[in-house]
Amino acid sequence: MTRHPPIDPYYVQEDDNLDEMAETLKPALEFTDEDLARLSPEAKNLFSGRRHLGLRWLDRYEIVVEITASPGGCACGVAKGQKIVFDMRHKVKAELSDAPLCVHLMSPVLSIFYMTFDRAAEGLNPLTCIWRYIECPMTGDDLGQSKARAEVHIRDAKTHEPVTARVLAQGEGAE
Amino acid sequence: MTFENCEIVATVSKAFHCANMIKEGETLVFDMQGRLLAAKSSANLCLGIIAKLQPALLMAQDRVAEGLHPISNRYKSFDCFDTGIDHGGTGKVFVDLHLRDATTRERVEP
Repeated sequence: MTRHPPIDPYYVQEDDNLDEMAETLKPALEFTDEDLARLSPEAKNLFSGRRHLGLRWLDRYEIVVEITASPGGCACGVAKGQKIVFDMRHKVKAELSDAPLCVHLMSPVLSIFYMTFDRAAEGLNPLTCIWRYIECPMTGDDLGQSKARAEVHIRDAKTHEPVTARVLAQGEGAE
Repeated sequence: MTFENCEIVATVSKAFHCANMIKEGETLVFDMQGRLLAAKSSANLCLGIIAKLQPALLMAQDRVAEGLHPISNRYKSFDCFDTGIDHGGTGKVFVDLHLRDATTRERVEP
């Protein structure tokens, strides 16, 4: 079956059931072959990042949210220099984080994670080149001057070195 | 009651095809400021459900300021941002919120 309008050949087509990664996905997501077949092409694109960045790209990087300012004495105790670390499946790595895990500050990071999957499907560095700054949603009566602010970067999970290259696409079958 | 020594617990009521392997019965625990308490939580700390709870945690503070029980009876069930396999996404996690005493872990009902 061909979609109308058709899907660009770069992306996952409707009859593509991600065979080369099926044995990884099935236990991880409790999928059957039937489940894989009925995923939308868009959902399959989510997993197709493995084709472009390697099968283990989700384990290779981390997203770091580093607090750059908190001049107002944040009620949650968030302070400059602290950080919150996430894996690429957008799970908090509490053992690597030293900032209070403030839900108000963390919530805007989810949008950045949605972009990571979109960008991986394009073969790009998962971290957006635009939305790298977040802030507490509490504005206060000083027009937000005292709110906590943070910068986001991506790093190698093993070396903790920042990953700055725009294109991270690897050869087919890369780990 | 000030609810200062209380915690907000999100208990997973249903989960399927979750990439972060969240299971029914697991919990995410927050203090009354909205800080996630990792050591008290049994679920994987997935931002896809945590971020969905942020409005409820703001509302809890608003309700406390009004002298009300922090958990709204109208807004206590939530699901994650993934739309699920039947709706163009992959998996889905559902949670129910309740309040508990931080010391005894007994439920604090309205």
